[in-house]
Amino acid sequence: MTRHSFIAFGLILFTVSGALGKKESAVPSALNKQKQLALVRVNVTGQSYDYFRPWQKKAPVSKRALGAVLSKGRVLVTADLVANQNYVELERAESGEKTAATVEVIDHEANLALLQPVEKTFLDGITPLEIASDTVVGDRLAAWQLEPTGALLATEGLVTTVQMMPYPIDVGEFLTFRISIPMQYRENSYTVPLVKKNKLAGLLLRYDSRSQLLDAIPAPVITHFLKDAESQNYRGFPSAGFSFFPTRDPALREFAGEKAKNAGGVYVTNVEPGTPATKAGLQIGDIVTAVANNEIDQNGNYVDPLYGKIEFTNLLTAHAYAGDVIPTLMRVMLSPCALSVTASLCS
Amino acid sequence: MDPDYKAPWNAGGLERGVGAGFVISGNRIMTNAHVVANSRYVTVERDGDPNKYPAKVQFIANDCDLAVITVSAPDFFKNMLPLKLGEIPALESTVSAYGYPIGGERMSVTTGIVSRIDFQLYTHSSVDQHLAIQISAQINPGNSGGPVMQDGKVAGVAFQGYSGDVAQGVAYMIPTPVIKRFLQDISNGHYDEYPDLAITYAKLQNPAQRRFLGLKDDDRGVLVSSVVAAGPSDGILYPGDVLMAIDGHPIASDANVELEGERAQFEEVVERKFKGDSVKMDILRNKRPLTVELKLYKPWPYSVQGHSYDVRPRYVLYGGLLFQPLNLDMLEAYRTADLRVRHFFEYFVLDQLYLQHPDVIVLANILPDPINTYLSPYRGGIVDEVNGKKIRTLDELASAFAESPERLVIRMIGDGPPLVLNRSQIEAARERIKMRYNVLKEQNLEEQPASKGTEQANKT
Repeated sequence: MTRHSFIAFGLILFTVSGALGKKESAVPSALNKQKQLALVRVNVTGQSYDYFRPWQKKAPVSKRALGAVLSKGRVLVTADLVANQNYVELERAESGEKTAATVEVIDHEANLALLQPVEKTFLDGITPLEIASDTVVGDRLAAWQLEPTGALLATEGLVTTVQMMPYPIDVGEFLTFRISIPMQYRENSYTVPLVKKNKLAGLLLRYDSRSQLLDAIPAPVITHFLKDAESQNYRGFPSAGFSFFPTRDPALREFAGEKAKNAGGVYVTNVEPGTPATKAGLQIGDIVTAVANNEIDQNGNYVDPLYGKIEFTNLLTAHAYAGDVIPTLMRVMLSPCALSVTASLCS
Repeated sequence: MDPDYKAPWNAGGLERGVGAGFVISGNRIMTNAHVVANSRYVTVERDGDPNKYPAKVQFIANDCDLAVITVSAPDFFKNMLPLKLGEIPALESTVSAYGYPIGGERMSVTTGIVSRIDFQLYTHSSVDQHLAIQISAQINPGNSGGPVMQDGKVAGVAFQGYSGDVAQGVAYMIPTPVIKRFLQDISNGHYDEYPDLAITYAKLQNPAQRRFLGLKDDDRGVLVSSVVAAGPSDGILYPGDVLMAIDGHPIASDANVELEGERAQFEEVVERKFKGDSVKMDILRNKRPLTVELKLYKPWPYSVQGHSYDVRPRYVLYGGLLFQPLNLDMLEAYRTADLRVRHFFEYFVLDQLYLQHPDVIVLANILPDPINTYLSPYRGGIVDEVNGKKIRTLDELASAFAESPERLVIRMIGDGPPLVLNRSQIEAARERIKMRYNVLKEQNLEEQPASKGTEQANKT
């Protein structure tokens, strides 16, 4: 009684032909020197609520950090830097000139935020960073920090892994670069940009000084955030609303009606009411075999053209936008009727 | 020998321990339950006598950490005068503890004063609370079971303390009311354990709440907040009842009663009673006074939350999957951190989880084999049903495994996937798994005393 049915389609594409070509140094050469580094200092004073006395806030805490200057006068930082902020200030690295800034868009799930200077001309003269979306395992990236003088401090590291990993607020997992890099301590190295050939490849998420491993929010997640931020209402990273389990166990596969030994797919263990998964007719016991035209293996991974095997949820978070329709192929065991429903994702 | 909950078919590790004891009337020796619990062979020695005399545990009370042992050798008790039990000693009065701290051949004596008299958790079972007396005399391993004396009479039995890095000069003895109660309980040839009302209650010191319940401003009464269905108060007391008096002793709003001139928690009235005894309660139900009487016994679900002794772990091994009922010993053996399992343990009695799951059956471990190699994510799951049938006890699980359908679909509690087993594959793997892991027996459904059959050997 197994059927193949298609849940229809909208598309998200975002492929960059990336190859492990010849390696160039990620550190800008002297010739390539930046007249005006696309890096500003960000000074944030924030107060979080005191959960033991929820009517009051704790004493203000100030943080000094860095921000990556993007086009249209925007500055990219991590969300946890500006969470609970009372006052945000930008500071030019070379001149020390300061201006107040506003938080335009913030996404705590993806840990990203966009700032804008109150004084519109404040970032004039800076060539903004473009996004490098072709980083692959084996690439070398430079971590950009600032010396107290405002001069650039660049450290080179190797991208060792690209995988789905938990982000600070721990709702689901997002694509992450893991980079082996001997970071140097500088006073204000909170939001450190990772740069590939003068383009932004990622933003520091966390660093473990003992193992010298740095996790970075990768360009695909940043690009998704920026694209969504351009729309009037920011909707964030979508999810489909079902939980799943690998189908490695032959007895479970057979139980779910899967005859072929090497067929892929994940077993649906729960479908949240009111989510796109429910609307598309997904049911507990179904096996999801493909998402957005990518086949899924028994562990729930698809083959990404850039990164190789990655959990299929990346197709929903980093590649799809709220409201997109994602083709999902599944074998239905419980209901024999054909499903031709569109699944619209909500954030 | 302590049972091995992680390989429950094994006999368990062999250990040797030393405690102290003292002779009481009737040629009996009193000691702590924790000195002789799980014992296979017990010998006693007398000060100044080179012989070791085989002894037998006659009665053991794991809920109040006391035991009575006997020696069959006729001349053991010759020229020995039994010690007499005294009363609760006064605060600040001096007491002396006798025993064999950290082993040794010669008896050791330490002295101290009575520091505090209060209810304490008895750590041997880890679930029972009784009266205990804190003394400042040093007590160390080997003092256990030894008498603490005052004026030539036993004031208590040394039994527990803290390790030096927690507190110093804080040692505890079991006071004579607990000892006398134990001796009276076993006088009918059987130890019946402490009964319990099995209710939870709230103190009634809040004026607004008192007015709501129609109580006067007289500092009387406590509010019943829950009644354990497996306990003696079920169907007699109800949540919302206000307990005003127990056996005629008025209950104050802080849950104390006055007993023989001393204030004590009202449960102390029940502490002094035995299984089958009655207790009379004056209550206020819907603002109307009422007198009820209930017959006491010990509700079984509490035993899951305490340590068990002299019982064999129950388990079912099927296809290399080890299923075990949840209890404190099993939880400690696996150091389970799983929140669902911990919830079932902590709220087993309070949320009456035992009504649906008298045994909370956990897939505790997996002995790896090709037939179960993909099943490790199911570890720690709690069995809910097999082939659509609810599983309440380990016996029901064993029966479900013994039935004939080829496919077994085990649903765990929560949203996980079903655990699917194919009988023919499991049957084919049975001997292989037994051989590989040296499994002597695939299941044990009875908690028969581990010491049964060894009594003979002790009587040499």
